[in-house]
Amino acid sequence: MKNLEHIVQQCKLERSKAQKELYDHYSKLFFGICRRYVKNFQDAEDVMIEAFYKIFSNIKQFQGKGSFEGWMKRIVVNECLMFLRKKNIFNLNIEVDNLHISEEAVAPTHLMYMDLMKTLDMLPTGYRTVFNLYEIEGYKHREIAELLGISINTSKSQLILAKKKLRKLLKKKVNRDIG
Amino acid sequence: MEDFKQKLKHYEEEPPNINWDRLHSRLSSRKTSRKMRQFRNMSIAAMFFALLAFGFTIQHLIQNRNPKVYTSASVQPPLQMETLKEVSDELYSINRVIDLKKNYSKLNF
Repeated sequence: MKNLEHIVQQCKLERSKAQKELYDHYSKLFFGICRRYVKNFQDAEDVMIEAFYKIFSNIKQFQGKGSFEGWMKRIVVNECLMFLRKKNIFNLNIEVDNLHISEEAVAPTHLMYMDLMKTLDMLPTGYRTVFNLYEIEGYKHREIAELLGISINTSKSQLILAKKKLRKLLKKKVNRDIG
Repeated sequence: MEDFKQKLKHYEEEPPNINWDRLHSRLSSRKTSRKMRQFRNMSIAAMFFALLAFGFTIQHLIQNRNPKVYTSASVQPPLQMETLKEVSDELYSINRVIDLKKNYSKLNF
């Protein structure tokens, strides 16, 4: 990709060529993000298009402070969360205060990306969302609680349960592959 | 788990090509509708100014064509009548004109 700053400037002027260039460069990454949050392939496509539409519509608001990619990623993640909220498929009512899981290592190094995605898809939406936000995007529990409209404890317990289930699934997968 | 997270963080997937066309058509229609809106607003503004200008022109024309109707409120100075001077030439004498008028009125054509 050519100079990103130049492309952003051109996108602010609504030049199709620059928009296409930006889309080509980031569509894979953003579609990957959408797929992590939204299980259904077609829904993930719709969410990505909506996110790109919002990026191009609001690109004039980007003042050049901070990372442009970070700004776009936030829009994509918010769009995913909005979609999940609209579909009302969160199931975040479980609050477990004294959950503890061991940090035993599961070695999924040989797992392919598609296997990882399949494993992630097996998690319930609430677990997956909190796991994505906390572990991958790096949000704090306080921020997740605000974003999803839940308590901090719920966010923590969802994460613990997500990790527990993930470990179980990965272990099963590793054992199956070895066996 | 760390490796799992790292792999997920950098997970990329190729979206179907048709998505760009869908996005592009949405962006184009947004651009067109915004231009249409701008054009409509400009047309309304232009029409308003044209009507205003037309009104002023008509008013100006009416005022100039019929000044009696549209007199201004300011007080006009009284008209000064011209006083004719006595002339020695008999042709232009007022008395002679009066006499002539009398004589003509006596005649019945």
